This record gives sequence, C-alpha cells and structure tokens, in this order.
Amino acid sequence: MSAAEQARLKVSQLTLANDYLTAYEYLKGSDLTPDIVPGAWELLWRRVHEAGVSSLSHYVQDDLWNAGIRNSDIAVARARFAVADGRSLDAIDAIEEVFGKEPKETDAAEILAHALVDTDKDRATALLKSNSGSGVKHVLNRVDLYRSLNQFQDALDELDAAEARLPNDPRFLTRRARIAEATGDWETALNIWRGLAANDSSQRAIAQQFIVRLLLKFESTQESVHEFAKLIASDAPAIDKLRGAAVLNQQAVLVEILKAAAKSGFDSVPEPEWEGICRFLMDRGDIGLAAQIANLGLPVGVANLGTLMASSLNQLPPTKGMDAFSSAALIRSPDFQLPFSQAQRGSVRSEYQSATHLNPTPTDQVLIVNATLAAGGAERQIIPLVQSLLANGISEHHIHVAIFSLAEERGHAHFAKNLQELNVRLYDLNNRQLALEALPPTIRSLVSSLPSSLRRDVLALWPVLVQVAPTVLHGWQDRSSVACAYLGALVGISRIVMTARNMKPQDRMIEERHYLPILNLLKEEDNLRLVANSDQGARDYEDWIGLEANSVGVLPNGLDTTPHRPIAQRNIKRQNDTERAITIGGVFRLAANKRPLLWIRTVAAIRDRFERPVKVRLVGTGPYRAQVQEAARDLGLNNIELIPRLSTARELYEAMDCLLLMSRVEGTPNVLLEAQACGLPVMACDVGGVSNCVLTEGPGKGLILPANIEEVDAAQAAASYLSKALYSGAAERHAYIEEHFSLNSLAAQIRDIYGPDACAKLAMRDGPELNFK
Amino acid sequence: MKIGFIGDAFDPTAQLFAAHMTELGAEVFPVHSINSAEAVDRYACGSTEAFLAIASSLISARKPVTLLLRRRAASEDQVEFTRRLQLLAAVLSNAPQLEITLMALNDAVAKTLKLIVGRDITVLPPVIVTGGERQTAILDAVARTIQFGDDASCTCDADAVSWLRVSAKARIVAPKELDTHNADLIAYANNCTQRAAQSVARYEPPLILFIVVNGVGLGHLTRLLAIAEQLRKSAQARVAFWCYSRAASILEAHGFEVIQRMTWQHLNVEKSAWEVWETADFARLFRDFAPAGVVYDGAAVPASLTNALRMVGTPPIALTWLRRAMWQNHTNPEYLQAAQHCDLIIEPDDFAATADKGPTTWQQTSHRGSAEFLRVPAIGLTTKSDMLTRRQARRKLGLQLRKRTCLISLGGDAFGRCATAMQLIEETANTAQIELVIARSPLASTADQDSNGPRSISVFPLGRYLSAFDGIISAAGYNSFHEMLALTDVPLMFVPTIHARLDDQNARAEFACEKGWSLSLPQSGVSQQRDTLAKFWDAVSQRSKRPSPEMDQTSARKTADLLAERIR
Repeated sequence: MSAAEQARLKVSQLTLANDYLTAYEYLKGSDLTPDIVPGAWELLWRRVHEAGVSSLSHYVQDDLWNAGIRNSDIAVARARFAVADGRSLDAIDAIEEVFGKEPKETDAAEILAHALVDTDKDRATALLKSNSGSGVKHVLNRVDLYRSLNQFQDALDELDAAEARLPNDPRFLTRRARIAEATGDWETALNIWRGLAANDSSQRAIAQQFIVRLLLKFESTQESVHEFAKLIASDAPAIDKLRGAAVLNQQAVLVEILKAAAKSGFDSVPEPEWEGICRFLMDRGDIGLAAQIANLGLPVGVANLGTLMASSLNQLPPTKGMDAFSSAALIRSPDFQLPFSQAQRGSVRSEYQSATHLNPTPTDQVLIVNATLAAGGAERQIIPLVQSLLANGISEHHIHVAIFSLAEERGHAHFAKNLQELNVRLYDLNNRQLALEALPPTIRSLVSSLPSSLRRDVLALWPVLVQVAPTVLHGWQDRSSVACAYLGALVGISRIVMTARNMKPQDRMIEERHYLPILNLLKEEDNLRLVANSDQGARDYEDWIGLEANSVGVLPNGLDTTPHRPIAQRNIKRQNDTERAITIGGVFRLAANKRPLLWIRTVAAIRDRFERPVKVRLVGTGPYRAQVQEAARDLGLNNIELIPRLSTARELYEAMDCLLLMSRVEGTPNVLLEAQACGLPVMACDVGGVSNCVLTEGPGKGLILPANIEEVDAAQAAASYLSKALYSGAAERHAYIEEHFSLNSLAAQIRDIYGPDACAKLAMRDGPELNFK
Repeated sequence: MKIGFIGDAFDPTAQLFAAHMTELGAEVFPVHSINSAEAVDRYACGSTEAFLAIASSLISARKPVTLLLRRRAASEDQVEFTRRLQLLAAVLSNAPQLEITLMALNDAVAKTLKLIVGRDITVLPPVIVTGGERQTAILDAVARTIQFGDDASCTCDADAVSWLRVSAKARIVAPKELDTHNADLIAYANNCTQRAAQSVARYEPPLILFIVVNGVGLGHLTRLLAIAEQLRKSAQARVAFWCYSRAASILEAHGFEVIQRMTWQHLNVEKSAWEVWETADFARLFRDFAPAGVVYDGAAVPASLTNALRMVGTPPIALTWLRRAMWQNHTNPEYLQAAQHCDLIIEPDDFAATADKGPTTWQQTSHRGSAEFLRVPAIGLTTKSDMLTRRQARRKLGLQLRKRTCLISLGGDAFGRCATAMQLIEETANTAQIELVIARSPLASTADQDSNGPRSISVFPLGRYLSAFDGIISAAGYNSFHEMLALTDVPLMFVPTIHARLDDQNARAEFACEKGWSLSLPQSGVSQQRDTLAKFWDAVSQRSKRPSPEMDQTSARKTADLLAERIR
C-alpha cells in the first residue's frame, strides 16, 4: 500500500470514529503534507466539514488552500467562512479564483453576492438576478441578500414565486415580517410574528423576540414585557433570551442569563451556539462579557477570539464587590478604547494621511454626515444648513453630504432631490462601505472591536473621509455625530461638529449605549463642538454628558420662508372670512411619540365644541396609520384627509386654517415654524423646544398646551383659542419667523460654531450680506 | 431541608438572606444550574435577575422557590429596574404552578415593590447574630469600604467580609445618602438580633478548625499542634486540622482529626480552578460542621478560605490568624491586608523581635478591619517538663551514653541545600572526635539519606530529645530557634536557611550570636567557617554551658485559653 493510500485509510478510520482531531494531528504532525497526500487531506476536510466541526474544518481547508489545492467545494466553504468572519475581500478572492467573476454555480454566486453586498451593490444585484437556484435554501439566501441591498420588492417577488411552489414554509413568513418592518409596516410585521409565535414552535422563540421589539416600537411597553416574560420562561435558546433582554434594556438579566449559560457549559447551550453568543455580545458593545466567556474556554470562534486578543482583553481586571461576569459587564466598547492613546492617534493619523495623500482634493471642504434623508424634521434641516453654507460663500463643490442610507424603498431619500438641486456632492454610504480588512491596520484593529452599529458607520464613513479630507466634519443627529466624533478625533480633523437634537437619546427611547462615551470626548478634544437646536436641548445634553453650563451651543432650525410668504399674505386676507368650514391640520409622522390617536381624538373634540364646521387634514405616514383611520371612523371624522406625503409649503399648508401638534416628544418642530411662517395659528403641547419656537405674545400668539393633557381639556382650550386666533395675528406670526429663524440668522451661527480657523480655511464670508439661493 | 441558592453567592444581602434560612434549620448552598433530579428541596434566589435568568428551569423543576426582592442600586436605571419587576410579575402570572415566596428586607420595601409586582411580599425576619457589644462602623457605599470606629486603618472592603460577622460586631452608619439598595441592607443588618455564641454552638466542646499550610518546614504545624494539644488538654475545644502539609501523619499520630488536602501544585492544576473547588469544599465543611472558629497559621491567608467564610450558607465563623513575625524584609506587605478578614490576630513573640526588619514591624496596614491584635509569648511545642533526661533520651535514640554527640538539625531539604556546609561540619567533627546525629525532618525525602554518612534520627517532637546532645547545629526557623535556645544550655550554632518562603532566619541567627547565645556559621568563606566550627567543637568537647533566654512554658496554653475565650 502506498503512503498516500495508507494515509487515506488512516484518516478514513479515524474520521469514521469521529476522531477528527487525531486525524488532523496525524496528518499535520507528519510529513504527509497536502501536496503529498492531497486525497487524505481532502477526505479529512469533507468529513470534518460534513460533521460541522467548523474551526477544524477551517484549519484543514486553509492548509489545502495554501498548498494550492482548490476545488469548488473548498472555495465555497472558504468564502463562506471568510464572510462570516467579516473578511469579504478574502471571500471574493476565493470565489473568483475558482469560479471567475461571474460564477454560474448557485452557491458560489450567492456567496460572492453576499461578500459584495456592502462594497459593490450593483454587482451583487447582477449576480442575484443571473442565478436562480430554486431550493428553499437558495430562495432564502437571495431574499436575505435583497433585503441587505434594500431591494425589498425584489425580495417580495422571490417570496411570492417561492410560496407558489412551496407554500407554508414558515421561514418565508419570517422574511416577510422583516421586510414589512424595514419598510415601516410594523403592524403587518407584528401580525406575522404573532402568527408564527402562536402556530409554529420552530419559529416561536425568534418570533417572540421580534414581537418584544416591535411592541416597544409601538411604545406598548407592558405588552412587550409580557411577551418577553413568555420567552424567558420558555425553553428557548439562550441567544434568543439574551436578545430579548437586550431589546428590553435588561442588562442585569442579560448578564445573569449569560452567567447561567456559561456555568452550565454545553448542557444548556450547544457548542456551536457560543460563537453566535459571543458575536452578539461584541455587536452590542459588551466586549468584556465576550472576553469573559472566551476566557472561560467556551468555543467563541476563531474570528471573535482574534478580535478579543487584539483588544488585549484576555486578562479582565476584577471590580470590587462584583463577581467576574458583573465585573466584565462594565468593560464596554468603545468605552475601553477611550480616551485614545497618543500612540493610537499617531498611528491612525499617519494611516489617514497616507490614504489622503493619494487624493488630490484640496482640504477646504465641509463634509456633512447624516443617517438618512427620510421625511423627518431633523433630516429636513440639512437643506437650510447647506443653504446657509452656500450663503456663507462656500462653493457648492466644496460641500459634501454623506448619508448612511439613501435606500428609496426604506423612504431614506425623501430630501435627496432638494439637496441635489443645491448642486452639492451627495454620497450614499450604503453603496460605499469598506470591507474591514481593507482598512489600514491600526484603525482596523480599533474598528473591529466596536459595537456593530458604530462599526458599520465608521466603515462606511472612512472612504468618504479619505476622499474628501475635510476641514470641517459635521455630524447631523446623534448617530452620525458620534461616528464623526469617533473617526474625526482619531484622524485629527480640525473641526468636528456634532449636532444634537432636542433631548438626549434615552428620552427619545434610543438606547445606543456607545453615544455617551463618545460624547465624553468633548471633555478631551478641543476640536470637537456639540450644538443642539434649542436651549432646552443644549441644557439636556450638558446635564447628561456632565458638561459645564453653556458649553453646548445652539444652532436653531432654519427656514427659507420664500415659499411661505404668499401663503401668509393670503391668510392675512382670509382672517375676515368667518363663515366657511375651517381645516385643522397636522403634519407629523404617525408614530407613538407624536400621539396620533390623541391628536385625532382632540380634533374630534374640537369639532364637537367649535362654532364653525371642522375639516381635518393629516399629512404623514407611519406605523399608526391604520389605527388613525380606524379611530377617525369611530369618531365620525368622515371628512378627514389622510395624506401620506407632501413636500411643498403650498401643498402642506395652503388648505389649512390652523395647525395642531400633540406630540409627547419634540425638538424644534419645523411644522410649527412653517405654519407660523404661513401665518397660521398653531397649537402644541409644551414639550422639547415647542415653547421656544411659538410666538407667545400679541395677537399672533400660539396656544401652548400642557405636555400631558386629555383630549377634552385640549379641545376646550383650542376652541377658545381659535375663536380669536383665526381672525387675527397672521402677519405677526409670519414676521416672528422671519426674524428668528431665517437663514441669515442660521448662517451667522454656523460661522461661530465652525470657528475662525475653519472659516478662514473654508474662505467663509464674514458679514451680514448673505447670498441665499 | 436543602436549599439551592441561585445568585451571587458572596453578595452581602444574600449572606443575610441565607442566614435566615439556615436559622430555620436549612442547609443553604450555591447551585449553578437547576437539575430536577438533584437533592434540593427548594431554591432561593438572591435577586430578581438571577431568578429570571433561569425562570424556565425553576418552573420546570416544580420545587418551591423563595425570591428576595430588593430596591434599586445607585448604578441602576429606574426604568430598567421597574421593567424587571414588571417582567417578574408577568413571568409569575404565566406560571401559577410555581410555588414562590417573595421576600423583602423590610416592610417599606415590601409595600413599595408590591405595587409593581402585584403580589404579597413577606418581610424577612431579623437574622440572629452572635456577638457582644456593637461598635459603630461607617459604610462608604461608593468606595465599598467599612470603617470600624474612628481609626481609618480599621477598614475593610465591604464586599470581602461576611456581613453576618460585620452585623454582629457593629452598627453601621453611612455619612452620605445611600441608594435604596444599600440603605435597606444596612437597616436590615443593624436590625439583627444578638445572642451569645454558647447558645448556638453545635458541639460541646466547640469545634475549631486549624489550617496547616504546606510549609517548607514544620514551624506552622508545630505551633498549631502546641495550641491544639492545650485546647484538648483543657477540654475547651475539639480541634480538627485542614492540612496541606505532607506531615499530616504527625497530627494523626497525636490523635487529631485530620482532613488531608492537596495544593494546586500537588495536583498540578490551574490555581484559579483549584481555588474554586477549595472554596466549595471549605464552605461545605463550614456548613456541615459549623466550627466555632478557624485558625490559620501562615503568611498569605488563602482566598479560598476567606471566600468560603463569606459564602451564602456559611455560618458566622471567627477567623484567627496566627501570624508570627520576622518576615523577610522583601516579603510583599500586601499580605498583611488579609487582616481585614480576621477577628483576631495573634503574634507569638520572637526572642529576636528587636532584630525584626520585616513588614509586620513597619507596614501600617490600611485594612485591618475589626481584627483584634494580641501578642503572646513565644510558642513552642515542647516544654522543659516534657523533656527526657539525657540518659533516657540517649537510650531512646540508641546513642552511647558517654560519647560527645552533636545534633545536626538543618530542616526538611537540608542535604541538598547545605551539602558543602555539611561536608565541612562532618570533616571538622571527625577531627574533633565528635559524633554527629542528623535529625531528619519528617518532610525530608528518603532519597536524601546517605547510608555512609552520620547516623540519622527522625523523631517528633525533637525537643523532647534535646538533652541527649552535647552540642547542636540547627537552622534558625521559629520553632527550632526558640526550643534550642530555651530548652538547652549546650553549645549551639545556627545555620540560617535562606528561602523566599521562609522567615528571616539570618536576622535571628545574628541576633542570637550578638547576645552570646550561640554561634552562627558564616554563609561563605571556608576559612571563617572552619574557625567558627573549631570554636564550636572546642566548646562541645569541653561541655561548655551557654546562657539561655527564658521562654514562657505556658505560652501555648495561654494562647489556647485566648482562642477558647474568643469563641465562647
């Protein structure tokens, strides 16, 4: 028998006895390298691969690959492992080397598309379109990839076709639920998950987890808690319980679940699941807990272990009075990286400079970053910001706006057209994301241990930062601001502006735990500035971060009143018309924090009390749409106009006689500014910056209602208010907005915030004569 | 009743909670997972989160559960806390089959939390603690320290000690406003009822556990044995030994109960894992036998011991640290911080105390907690009255009655360590026609025995036989140093053993030399060594007498009395 035959026989015997490690050691410890006995190695790889021993499979596959032994199965397995490991470039290399750039084999095409999702969406889409494996696995793969590409209609088409052939597969329903949620149809998503939780035990745990999350989005906290109670008292996998605890912000419960799971080892959590648990912990910034389970010797996977080792978390310092898990839970990312060391800064700056050196773009640039351009008040304010920069004399070629997602099907591109009309450069970062391994080494090591949301943003931001090399990096809203602050502070951008909104994120039910440690950089970094859009917002952030009084600046909302002027003039004239029906208007997202059902009940109560007939015009969309329609029907508001989306001032306000806002949470609501600019009486609850932007005296004064009010009391006050306000004050309202919220005022404030050095570099005009488009 | 405890087994509130159950006759011990087949009659959860984390298993186990509810800690978000209680309420309403008792530390907590949980909450009755008059102690909830009285050095880590002991000794106050969680804890601890120790002793006489470290020599074992003998003689306590030393057979030969233990080095395992097992075993013994006290003799009080003493289910046990001085100057003074775990520290005096340069003389420990410090006269195992006469001793040892004979007692591994010195001693003794008798330590390896060398003996305690010799060459460990000096008046030479884990033998030997009590073999220089040996053999030949310091022959008894008094 030849040596090759002997080796193959030995490997065969050992692997049939499930003794994979001995088989590996037998080959590895001898001179029987893959190039000498390829058959034995391939046999070992297949057996290990089929047995699902993932780490060993990877090692064997790596040995084969490095010995030049490549076939389609090995290439696909290698690529799949690399994708799971976050090394998309390696995955692309593996597939392209064996299958070429356009693989015909379905598995290869799908994994290549997967690897390209973040970096080359067009190619990924083309690959999906040109390959159509019909098995459930392939359908699910394609649907998931389309979802990653924000191509929801394509995903739904796939599902329709598949369900026609293979009805009743619950996995198709889980995809439908996710798509419904991503496109804002939370009601449908919730119903699907509820159906799955009730009827399908295989999907129950995951369905319950999604129900918990969606109910929280609906602000149905009690229901959410009850749903999680079912999940936690069930025999669901630990990972689902951990996710549920995270959604409900139950960190102490999460730590105890993890502790109990770790102590029972593989009794309660099968070996392969520890890798997913570790990844979950790292993704949410619980890097200390991830390190704790790794240090206990649980199989957290090669990639996770590599990240943890690179973060030097193999020795966790104990904390007084705490057990090891509670102590480890205090070590969080990015907190443990902060403040950055001089060595880290030096290294990252030199990496940044080498990258930008290749780029000839001059450095007198402004880069504004935001999450989306969805139809929200904060997103809308990017337009006046850019208008003010232009008015300050900065060339449109030097203003760059980078948006993390402009996905049309998610409604993220609502204001894209407005920005394009201003001729500034607009980047969709969702199409430009970098693979982690493409980052230079120091920044890569830092980014790899960030929580996933921040990691994705930093990865997306890096290429455009390198390309633009801005003088001013301006983050808009919290998510973008912290990404800008993190990266900007590391690479040493001269001026980094973070723009907060009306109140700290927690009060808006945003539980991103990495915001605060990054905002704390304000205490260390001179080049960082934080501004809010109202005095209240600024003070709220100061208290939260622990900053000195007045250290957070105020950049009020700006409004280009040009389109509102003619409406105001018309409304001044209409004040004498006392006969016709009045239209009470609302413009807001139909989400819980806007209290749409309170709004509709209040309008109905006004109708019952007011002397003139009342019509209702509600502009907005969102998860409460169906409930609003139902409530309107129940209340007999048959003449309600429920319009999903309108853009221009004329479309929005011309048909209104007054504006009502009943939000529980607000900043400086644009609609109040715009309605007053149109001369309309406004009524709103006293939350956030409402009282700051409503005229409070004279004939044009608005109605400020208590923050917590019942519809009957609100309607009583509104009816009384409207009986005077409808007939006077339109001119005063318009003048008030012109004076306090004009672009002129905004432009001056921006110069102050950017500071003299940045203004000089940007050649910003200094003076009151501004040139608005 | 066996109660499996779920939660942080070292948490102060949990210690008090578990104490309540042990008072009712239950055995409480930590469990890490729920197995319906295990021999547990019910479960106790120390926190809501601990209960929720394994709620599914607890419900399936179909055994009664007691859950202690607490108010919010300062570090915790109010929304998170309230939501957790709502979650608990929801879990309980979905599991009507679960027999659960909710408890809280006081009435106000019970009423407040009932509003959220929607169930009756029983108030935990005050725990009964043993002790005398309470002093005032100050809790710093941020630094997590407790200071006893006005002396800042009387501080301990609040989470490193048994709160059953703390509440027995002190009434706790907090100068700063406390979060509700800590306020509830100290209010409950202050409300504990006191009673005398005698009324709860499980054995008569009470049991004391002596812990013998795996020392280089037999000093720790000998000192403890001396005290144990006295306790037994006076019937004041029953002594059992927890023994890491290979000389455990000596203790057994003396008729004591011995629990033979292995160190992590013996077992060749990871220290951290061994500590966990050892802690669990200590705790099991404490639960099963409830010793009235533990006496540890060694430099580094082991974490496994101090952890076991504060583990849920462990009864309040007084810890005495028998801590001889004369540490080497470079010894890590941090070891002294272990004083915070102790109730009593006894330092046996040393004839060479004035030459002591070790940390016990200069390090002012910042953490000595509530420990009482007492110095007692030097302790030895053998008293003069225990000694055999010269004739008896020589006969027992098989020595000729007339021949000049010198004892060589250099410690456990002397032959490997002192080979050169031994060669010189043998050579010069031969010239001086003096017979050498090597005292072999019971710890010495038999491989060290040289069949061609001088006669060797292995007896314990060696002190009884010292009259047999005309001269003694000895190491300067605590026990040898004191017994050789105090029990004999023949010429004496010290050969100090230099070892990182040992006391400062060099200082002792030099001190004795300066006092004219002995000679000391120079550590180097063959000619100086020869000169010193020549002088020594000359004195032995002439049967010279030397001055002997007086040693209190009743010190072991006095120390035993002290211990007995403290545990009563």
